[in-house]
Amino acid sequence: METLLVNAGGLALMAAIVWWFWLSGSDDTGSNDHQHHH
Amino acid sequence: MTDTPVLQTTLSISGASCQGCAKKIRNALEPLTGDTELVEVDLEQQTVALPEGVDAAEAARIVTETGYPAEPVEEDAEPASCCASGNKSENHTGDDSENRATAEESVPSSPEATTGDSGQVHLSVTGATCASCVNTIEKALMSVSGIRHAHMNLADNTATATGDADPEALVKAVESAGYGASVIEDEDEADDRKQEEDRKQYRTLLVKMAVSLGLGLGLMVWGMGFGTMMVTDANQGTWLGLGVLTLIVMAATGGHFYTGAWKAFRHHNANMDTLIALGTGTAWLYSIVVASIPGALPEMARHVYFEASAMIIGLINLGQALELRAKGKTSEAVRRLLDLRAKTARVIRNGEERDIPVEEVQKGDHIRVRPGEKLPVDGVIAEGSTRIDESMLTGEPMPVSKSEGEEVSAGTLNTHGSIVYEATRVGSETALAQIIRLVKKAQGSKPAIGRLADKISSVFVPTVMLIALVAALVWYNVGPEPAVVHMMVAATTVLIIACPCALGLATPMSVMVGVGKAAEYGALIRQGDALQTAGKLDLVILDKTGTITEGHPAVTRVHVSDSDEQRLLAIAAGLEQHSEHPLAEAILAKAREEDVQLEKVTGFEALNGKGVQGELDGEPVRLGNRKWLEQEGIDLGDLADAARAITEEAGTPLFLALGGKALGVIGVADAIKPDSKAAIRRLHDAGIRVMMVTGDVDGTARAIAKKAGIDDYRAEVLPEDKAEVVSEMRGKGFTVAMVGDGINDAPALAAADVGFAIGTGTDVAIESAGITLMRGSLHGVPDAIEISRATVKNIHQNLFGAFVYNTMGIPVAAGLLYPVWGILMSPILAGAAMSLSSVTVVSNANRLRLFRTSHRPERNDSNSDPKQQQERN
Repeated sequence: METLLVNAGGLALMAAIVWWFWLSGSDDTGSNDHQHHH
Repeated sequence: MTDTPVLQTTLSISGASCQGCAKKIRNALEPLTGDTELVEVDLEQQTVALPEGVDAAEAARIVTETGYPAEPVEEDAEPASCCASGNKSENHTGDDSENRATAEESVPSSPEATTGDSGQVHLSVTGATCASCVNTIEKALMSVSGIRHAHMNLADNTATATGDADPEALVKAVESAGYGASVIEDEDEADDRKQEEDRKQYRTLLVKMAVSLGLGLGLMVWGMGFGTMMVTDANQGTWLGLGVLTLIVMAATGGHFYTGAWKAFRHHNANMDTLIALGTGTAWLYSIVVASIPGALPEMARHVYFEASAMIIGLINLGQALELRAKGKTSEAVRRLLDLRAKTARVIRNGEERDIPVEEVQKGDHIRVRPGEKLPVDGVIAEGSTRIDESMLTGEPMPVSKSEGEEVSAGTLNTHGSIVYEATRVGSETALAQIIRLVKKAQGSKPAIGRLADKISSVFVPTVMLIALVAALVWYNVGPEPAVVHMMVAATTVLIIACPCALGLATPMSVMVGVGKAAEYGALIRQGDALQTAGKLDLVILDKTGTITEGHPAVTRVHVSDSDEQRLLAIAAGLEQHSEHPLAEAILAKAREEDVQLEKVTGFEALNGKGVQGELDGEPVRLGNRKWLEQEGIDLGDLADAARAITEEAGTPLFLALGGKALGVIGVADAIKPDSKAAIRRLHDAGIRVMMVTGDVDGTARAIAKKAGIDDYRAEVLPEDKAEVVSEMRGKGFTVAMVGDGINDAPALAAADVGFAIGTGTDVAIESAGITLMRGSLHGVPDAIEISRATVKNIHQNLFGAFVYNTMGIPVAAGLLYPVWGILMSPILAGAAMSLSSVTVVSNANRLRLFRTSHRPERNDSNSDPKQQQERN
């Protein structure tokens, strides 16, 4: 149970980082730098 | 182009690399244009064309906000090569060289020359520490409506925003991004204030470092020497207390990291502060959990890391303090220029002499300067003569003689006599003030390589956070016990070691030192790109007149066929007195020297590419090239042999005919500068081909090329065609530098990869070239190239160091070596390594200050001027 929680938490955090810094960037980086990934 | 309305407004953009980007730009502009089809995105040219009537500034703002920095293209920013056709009426003979008058009336604007200082706001920024901060601040500034371009210089902590916006709004934007900002109104005052602030900040950082490092070391010594870093029932209370103390110290000495991280986070950004805050925060949180509820963790995992949090903050503060001090040293070049300014001036008003502060000097004031004093402003000597040491501005070591009517510059030193001069340029208009502005601007500019580093580091921090999480999960799932401890240590270490501060400093530090070094050698570099490109040059094209040669032609030979020399000169000078051409001046000077009474020539006319003509006693008199006179049916007889001799001596032959009869030929030559040959040899030594372009006939050009040791030449090139030669050579794959006098060569300078405007003294046309040489000597070109190569090498070393450090450091920190050798890096070591990397980068950039160019006296020609030989040795 604990293992599951820790792993799920870690993955959720990673998803949150990707979302916050790349996908949801309203005014900035995210959008700019994202351009260079495709 | 499609069948849309006339496309008139154009934006220049950057960063659009694919059709997806183009689509995104078109969509973003739809509200403005009404239809995505009306927007043309040219990915190759990086331009966006919009239909007529669209507000360019607004469109640029929208495109910039979409993620592609955009600027409206000014209509007068057309490439300069288009503007060279405005010849003055007086083009001399065809074999005459440079038609110097050509472009004076229509000095073309180089692409860079269009934006002046207008609409720019300079901000002093505090709290920026790394490449990510630079991105955050630039983006914050760009988000202010009306701003077209923003640029942050990490090396001197200033930001420049171009556009139409309230300075206060810019300050607020930077502040809300998590940094401090203030508007720079008076540059001088700002410099003094910045120096004072830096000193204060340095002291503060040292105190903070001492406190946090003291606590960290104390905890470590206490824990290891007298007790244990493991929490037990007996010491739980003590550790709890120490945990709270650590938190207080962390907040007091590293508070700026946490506030910076939070503010960046709110703006969807992550920077160096983020990594430090997360790293030290994770260590403290874990430790406080252990200290509060040790029972929740397995016994082996009850280890505290309070000392790590405190020591990391201490080490990073130490690194920043050292960095601050080294940064101060790099701007020495500017400071030295600033120190050249005189504080007071002895002004003569109403017949009375008095000392007044230099700021109060006005144009037209008469100023007395005694021997040993610095000149306070620019002006023209009204009384007396002296020798002036201009080395601080031009790099020319020998004092220059100056007498009435000659120009003098602020910051130079009067070494000899007492003079009175009239102020012509004061305050920010003086050559010195302009040079200071230029050097500062160039020091802050970012070459392409630096922009790449910024781009990388803006995605770097969030990526590191992901890596830290992956490492933590791997340790948790497959690592040995105590897994929780290993997981925490690995994540903390990754976060701490990955700080991209070295990456952010790598380019600006080197550029700053390199530009300063070049200024020391009398080469003013206008942008970072010129600095970077100058290192890659493989072909240097030299203009002849004023570049290789002195630019002051003199009569070298007079050959008479049917007249006497006096009469020949009297007619030629009588004709040429109506002309202002350099060749005319040479003939007039010769006539004056020989004390010849000039003939009265009427009906003067200059014929482009042929020569000049007039009338003497009702007979036509012509002075010009051979082709023209032969076309007119004049038999030149044995003058052709004399002309050949003139050409072989690198001179230009001018034939004089009265009526239908040739009277003689005058040879006019422009002496090669004493050090041109040595400078050209230095270019060869650097592996660079050298080519000369001139309007001279082939024979003269060949003779000059041979004398100067030039590989290749193009003769009979009209001034307006020089740019074409440059483009042609670029087309052949050469990276081309054009060296010219900056006025009539402006189109060619702009067409080259790097344009060198060669000026004598302070009389420079700095706007037309990437690099301006303040000395008349060609040595400035190899000097600038050598400095550029050294700087680019330095940048590469720095970037390589920073990249290697980060790419090697992260896997080691994540524990990749653990399975093989059982090595897991401690977070404290990571903190020390991180600080060390910044200090290394800054120190390496400072190493450039010791750079010396290869200009040595023994390398000079036998005909070198002894003055030049003393230079810089």
